[in-house]
Amino acid sequence: MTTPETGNRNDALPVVSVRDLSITFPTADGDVHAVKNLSFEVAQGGALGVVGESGSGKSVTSLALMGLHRGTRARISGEIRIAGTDVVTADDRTIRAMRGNDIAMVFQDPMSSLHPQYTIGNQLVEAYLTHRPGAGKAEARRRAVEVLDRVGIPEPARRINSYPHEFSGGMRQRVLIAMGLVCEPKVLLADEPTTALDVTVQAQILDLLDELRRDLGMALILVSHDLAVVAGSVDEVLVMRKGEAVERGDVRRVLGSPQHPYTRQLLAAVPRVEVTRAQRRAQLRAEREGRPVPVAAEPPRPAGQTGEEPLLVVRDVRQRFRIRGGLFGSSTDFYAVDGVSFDLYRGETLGVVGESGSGKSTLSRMVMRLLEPTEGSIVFQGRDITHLPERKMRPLRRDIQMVFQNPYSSLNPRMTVGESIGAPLRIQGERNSKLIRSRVQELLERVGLEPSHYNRFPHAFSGGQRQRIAIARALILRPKLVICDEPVSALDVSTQDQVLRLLAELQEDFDLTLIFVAHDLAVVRQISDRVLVMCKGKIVETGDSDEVYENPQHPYTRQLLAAAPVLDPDEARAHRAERARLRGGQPQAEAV
Amino acid sequence: MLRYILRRLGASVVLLLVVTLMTFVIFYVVPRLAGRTTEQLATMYVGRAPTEAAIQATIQRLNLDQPLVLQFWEFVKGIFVGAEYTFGNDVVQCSAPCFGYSFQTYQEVFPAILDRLPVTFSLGLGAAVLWLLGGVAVGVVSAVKKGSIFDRISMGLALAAVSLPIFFTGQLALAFLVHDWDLFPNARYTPFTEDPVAWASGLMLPWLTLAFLHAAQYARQTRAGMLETMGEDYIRTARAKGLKESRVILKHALRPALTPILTIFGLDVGMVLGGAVLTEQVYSLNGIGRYAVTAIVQSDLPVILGVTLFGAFFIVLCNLAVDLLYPLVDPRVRAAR
Repeated sequence: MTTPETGNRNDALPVVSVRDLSITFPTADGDVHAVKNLSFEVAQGGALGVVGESGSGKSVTSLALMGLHRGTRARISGEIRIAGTDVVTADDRTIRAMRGNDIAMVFQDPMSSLHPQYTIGNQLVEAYLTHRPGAGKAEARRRAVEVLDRVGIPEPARRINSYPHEFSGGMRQRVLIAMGLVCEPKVLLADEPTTALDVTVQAQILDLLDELRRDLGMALILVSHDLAVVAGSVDEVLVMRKGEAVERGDVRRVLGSPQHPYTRQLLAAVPRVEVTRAQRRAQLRAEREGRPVPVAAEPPRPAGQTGEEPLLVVRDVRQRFRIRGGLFGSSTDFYAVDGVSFDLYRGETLGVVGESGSGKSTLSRMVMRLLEPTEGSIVFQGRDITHLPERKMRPLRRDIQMVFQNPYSSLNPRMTVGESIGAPLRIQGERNSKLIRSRVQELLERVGLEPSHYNRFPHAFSGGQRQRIAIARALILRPKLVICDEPVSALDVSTQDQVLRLLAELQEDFDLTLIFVAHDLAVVRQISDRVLVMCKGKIVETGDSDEVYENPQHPYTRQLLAAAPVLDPDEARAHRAERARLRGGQPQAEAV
Repeated sequence: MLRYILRRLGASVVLLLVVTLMTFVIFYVVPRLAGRTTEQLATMYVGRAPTEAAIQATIQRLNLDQPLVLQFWEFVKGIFVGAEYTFGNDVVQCSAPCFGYSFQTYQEVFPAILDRLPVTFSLGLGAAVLWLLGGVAVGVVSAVKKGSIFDRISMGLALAAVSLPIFFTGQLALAFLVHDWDLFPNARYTPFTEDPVAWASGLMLPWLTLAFLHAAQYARQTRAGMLETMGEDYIRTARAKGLKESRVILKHALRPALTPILTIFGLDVGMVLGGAVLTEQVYSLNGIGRYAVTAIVQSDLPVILGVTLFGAFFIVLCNLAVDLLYPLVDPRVRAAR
């Protein structure tokens, strides 16, 4: 609140004011205090970042600001005032008049936050007419087109009749923002608005929010688990942990010289694009040395391309999908992966970076032979597996394993985690249940869980723990190659860091070769020796990871790097200006 | 879209042919597999006077001495172009669509079915409207007021209703609603064109009985669907817009919950139009279902065959209607085609 730049705003009455807010959920095991004695204010036109990991109470707080806690079992005390409305005590009618009109909310998942069965126009018009009952349909429609145009939807007058599924994720988030803007609210509350999006799209959405805030004079509350996401967009930061505010202050002060150890911990967890693989390795090694680790130190990794035979040779693979459609059912060919070649050496980590739709997941599925390549060849350990029938492929699966993106859906909810992890052993013919059990428990311990977790079901675990389980399942057969497809993108920053550390340790201990697929450049840099940058099914740049990051050759790589969030607020703003320049200069870099 | 409709229509015709073949096989081929001779078969179909001459005549008429393929061909041909039957010296024309004639009454099957169609249609469509509206309304209220007295009582009733057969609820309704309390007249069919009021009041009791059974299932389905959609993210978005709760429920939550209901509704209506056997039997309504029961009791195979095909026809028709309606209800289906 008391930053020198926003000094003149201090005189204005705060548009959002929260005092001693506590939110409690009564459960069978006693009360759960989701939020405890939280207080903050946001001035008119100001911007506040609320940061914390899942379970910190930040989402519960956002819902309470909208009065959306009503009708749930949440018990609330304290005071919330939004543009003069007392959210805790007002009647439902007053709250409804406030929602969307004084304060609008943008949610995390743009894929599921729009009604799939109504056109976006219908949903926007509805929002407008709710608060402007006197306005006619034509006026509401005009306004809807106007806001769609404002948030950067091309051809808004035509697109207004489209359904949500006809838009990409980033476009849907723009539509949701437009829906929030339609009644010109005083506050825009964005709860993890970019978590489900790619880096470049994330940058675009954040830029849009920043621009709208400045142009329309709205206050912005930006909620995220990632400090780097809020760094360039807010004046003030509130760090939450277990329902309490641990630190609050000017964004430069909090990020520059954090006072609370938790803030420092969060900052340390943020993957930084400027940290090299070597630095990261050295840091992890040093940290490990401090702990007793029973595994003998591995010899230094082979340098790779020194005449040694590669573990995996991928040559010119293509994957074609037929898209049906057209009036006469004609089909067009679409190459999800279009002529990709690379070699992978034992003990190496190959990072594959790209936005969604770049073909990186299709590529990993082909290497895994979950998909049969349309063209090209894949040679694993000197054996051509490109068109190997499933029956012959099965024994080889022992050596190639995969860790999937979504730890919530990649574990069978009806199997105990022990059964899930042990299943590959069973499938490969192991019949000794006792042996399976002991090996699973050993591995559970190795990935940082308890052996006694064997009989628990996945729902009892957090996202990070589930990803550890998924990693254990991939490692039980002692594979040579592990493909990690966005293994940490569904996780909080701090959890992300822990899982990445675990992967790095396991790579040494199990002598693994990794293919690491992700859209987050910083994460990829920290773990990879070499990087492939993919765009529209093709490799646009490849090379030693430090080289690619420090001296990117292809404009697409540069664009990706400019989109990566950074922690320094001033640098973040510089990047934003750079992005604006890139967008202005390159009309083909269309908004996604 | 046109292409899709044509493709679906073509598939429906093929499906009906397959149903015809299977029905034919069940009634004409399976008995042979069990060791019946042609004479024995003919004896079954000959009716009450199985004289040697009558049996031979029956064999002739039904082509029982011909190869099976030819029998099937004659049967299918009859449906499309009609057939001729000889009774001694008389030649009887059976015009298309010809499903043969009853062994018992010597009536042609198709006109007999057409005669009974208005009864079954009136019963089925009336009940369908009642159970759809009633079931969905109860389901919505139950879901919104989850855990309330209303929810518990209506879900308890619904469980009872799906478990109780119509001949039980029907008798109860007759005993109490008609005889003891005199709320409704006894069930009786008056054509709509003659007297709409008598039509409705006479069918009220069977409507209620039939609707009760189905409404229970719809209430449970709607409730489950509503509870699921009420937890969706877009419901939160709708609330965050400042919409009234009633609009959130009726516009945003109900529509997705109704999508699967549409599917079972198509099936159920098709089933009922093929003959609401138990309801017609309990209330002595002379519809297709009752016709089928009589035929089964009397081993009147052409009638059974005809009624089966008719039922299949309605189920296929209603399913086709549902499939064509689906893209209107859920735009995402349109994209998938």
